[in-house]
Amino acid sequence: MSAGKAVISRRRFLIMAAAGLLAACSRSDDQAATGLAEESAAAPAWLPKLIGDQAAAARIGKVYLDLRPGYRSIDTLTTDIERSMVNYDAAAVDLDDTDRVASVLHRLVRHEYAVADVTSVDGWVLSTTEARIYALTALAS
Amino acid sequence: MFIDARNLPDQTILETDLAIIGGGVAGITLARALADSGIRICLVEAGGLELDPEVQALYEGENVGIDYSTTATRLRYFGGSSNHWGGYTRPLDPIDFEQRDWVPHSGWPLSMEELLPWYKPATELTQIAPAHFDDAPYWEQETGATLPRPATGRMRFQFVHFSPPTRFGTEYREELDAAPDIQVLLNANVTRIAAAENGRTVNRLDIRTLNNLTHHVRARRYVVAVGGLENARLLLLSNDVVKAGLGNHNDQVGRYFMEHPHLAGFAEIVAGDMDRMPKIMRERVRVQGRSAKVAFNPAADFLREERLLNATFMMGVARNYAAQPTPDQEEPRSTAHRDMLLAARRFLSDSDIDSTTDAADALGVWLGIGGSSEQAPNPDSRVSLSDSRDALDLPRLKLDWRLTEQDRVSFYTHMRSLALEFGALGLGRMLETIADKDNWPQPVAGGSHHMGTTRMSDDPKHGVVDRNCKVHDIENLYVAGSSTFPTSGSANPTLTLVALTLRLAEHLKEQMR
Repeated sequence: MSAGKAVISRRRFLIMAAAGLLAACSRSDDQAATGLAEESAAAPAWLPKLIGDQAAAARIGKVYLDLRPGYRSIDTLTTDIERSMVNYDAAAVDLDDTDRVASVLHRLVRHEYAVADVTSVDGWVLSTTEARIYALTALAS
Repeated sequence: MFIDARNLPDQTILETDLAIIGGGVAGITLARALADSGIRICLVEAGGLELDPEVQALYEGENVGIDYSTTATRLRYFGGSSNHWGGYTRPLDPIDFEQRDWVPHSGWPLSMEELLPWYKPATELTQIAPAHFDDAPYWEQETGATLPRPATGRMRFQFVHFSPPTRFGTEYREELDAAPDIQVLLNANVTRIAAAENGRTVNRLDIRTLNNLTHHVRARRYVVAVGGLENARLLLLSNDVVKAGLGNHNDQVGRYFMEHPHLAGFAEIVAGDMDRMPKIMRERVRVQGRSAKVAFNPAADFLREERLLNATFMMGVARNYAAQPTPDQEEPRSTAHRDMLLAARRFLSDSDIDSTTDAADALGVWLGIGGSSEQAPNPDSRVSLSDSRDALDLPRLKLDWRLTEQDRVSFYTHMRSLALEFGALGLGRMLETIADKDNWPQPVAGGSHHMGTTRMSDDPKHGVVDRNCKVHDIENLYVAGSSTFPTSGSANPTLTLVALTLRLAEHLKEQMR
C-alpha cells in the first residue's frame, strides 16, 4: 500500500500524531493531513509478511472478532496495530517499508508477551498485537 | 543385623543408645550417618522387607478435607516411601527459607546457607552427585545445545535431577545389616512413645507386632522418623502423660499440613521450532550417568514483587505434529493446536521475517505441562486423631488437607507467567484449558509429599521442634523428615529431608559423645 508523496491517510495521521512526528512532516504533507485522504479498506501491505498461514490465522482472528463486534474494521485494527508499533519503536514510522514494519511488529509481539500485554482468544494467551493481526487477517480474507 | 520382632520372645526389652522409629529415607539416612560413631542404634521399622497388605492397612485414615489417600501416598515397609519414589530431586530455593511478610507463618529458623553443607552429601545418598541444579553453562556444554535466556523477568530455569531412584531399603540394606552397632527391628509397630511423669523425658518405646507380641526399646535418645503424616500421629497418640500428645503443649502437633498441589491438564503449549527448544527442556537428558531436565521456576524477585508462593513447572512432548501431519480425529484439540502453529509460524521463528518456512515445517509439538506449587502454611490444614481405630487398636489418622485462595491465585499467576515466557522467547503459545479459574480444579492431587506437621521453630508456641529437630521441652526426643519443614517451597522434599537428617546426625554425634 502506498499513500503517495503528497497525500496522507487519516490512519497515518493518527499514527504519526501518536508518535509526535507531525512536526517533521513536509508542508505538503501537513496540508494533505488537514484534508485527510479517504480511508482505505485494503489490508496493509506488511500483513502477509507476518502471517504463517492465512486460513489458520483467519480462524483464530474470527474468534477474536466475535468477542468484539464493534471492532470489525480493517482501518481501525490497522490503526491500532500501527499505533502500538510506533509507540514501541518510533523509528518504524515509515509504513511503506513493509520489511521494516514486519520486523518491528515481530519484535513488538515478543515485547508484549514480556510485559504481559496479552489477551485471551478461545483460551490462547496471545499478545494484543498478535491477536489483532489475526483479526485483521480474518477481515481481509 | 536385622531382627524380626514377631520372632522375639514376648516382652523383650532392647537396650540401645539411639532408637530411630521408622526405616524410611530419614531413618535409614540417620542410621547410616551414625554407623561408625560408636553409638548403638536400634532402627525400628513397622513393616518387613516387602509390602504386606495387612501392614499397609495400618495406614488407612479418615479424610475430612480435600480428597486424599493416606495409604496410596506412602509405604509401610523397609525403605518406606522411597519404594515408590519418582526420583525428582532438587534443593529448596533460598527464598523458601525466608520469612516472607506475604506468607503467613513463613520463615525457617535456619537459612539455606546453614543447610548447604548437607545438601552435597545428600546428593551422594540419592545418587545424583555431582549435581548441577542451577548451572546452565554446565548443561549447555555437556549437551552441546544453547538454552534460551528467560525474557520476562518472571521465570528462571533450574535443572531437576533424577535419582535412579534410590530405593533406600534395597540400596542400603546390606550396609545396615553389616554394621556392628545397628539393629534393624522389623515388623515392629511403635504404639506409644512412653514419657516420664514430668513429660520432659522419653523412657521407652512400646512396640506391638501383628502376631500380638509386645516389646520395648529403651534408649538414651529417640528419633521419630515415620513420615510427615505418621510423625504427628505418633506424637498425638502418645498421650498418657501429656494429654494433648507429646510435644503438643502449644497445640502445634499435626497442624500446618502441607502438600505440593500438583496440577496437570490446566494448559497446553504448542511449540514450533525444536532447534530453539533444546531436548533438556522437554525430556530427561542423560549426561555422565545422570539425568536431568529443565524446570521453570518463578524468579525470586518476581515472587517478592508480586507477593507470590513458589512453583515448579516441567513439560514433555505430548504429541509431535511434525511427525503426524494429518489432523488427529481422536484428539479434539489437535485442530486448534495446528491452527496456532500454522498461524504463528513467523512469530515462532528465530528470524524476523522468515518467508521460506513451509507449512509442514511449522508443525511442531504439543507440550504437556505439569505443575506443582507451594502452599502457604495453614494451621487449619492438619492431622489429628480419628475416633476409629486400626488393627492395633490405635486411633487412626484424621487428615484435613486445606488449600487457600492465596495458593490458587499464586499458581494461576505462575501458569500465566509460563505462557508469557514462551511468547516472549518466541518458542510457543499456551492454550489455557482450565475451565474455572476461580476455583481449584477437581480433584487436586498431591505429590505424596507430607510436610509441616511437626514444624521447626525457635519459638515453642509456633513449632514442635527446634532448629536441631529436637522436640521443644522434651530432652531426648527428636523428629526427622519433611514434617519439620516450616514451609514447603515447590521442590520435591526428599533431598532436603536427607540434608536435614544428615545435619541432625551431626548434632546427635556431638550430643551423645
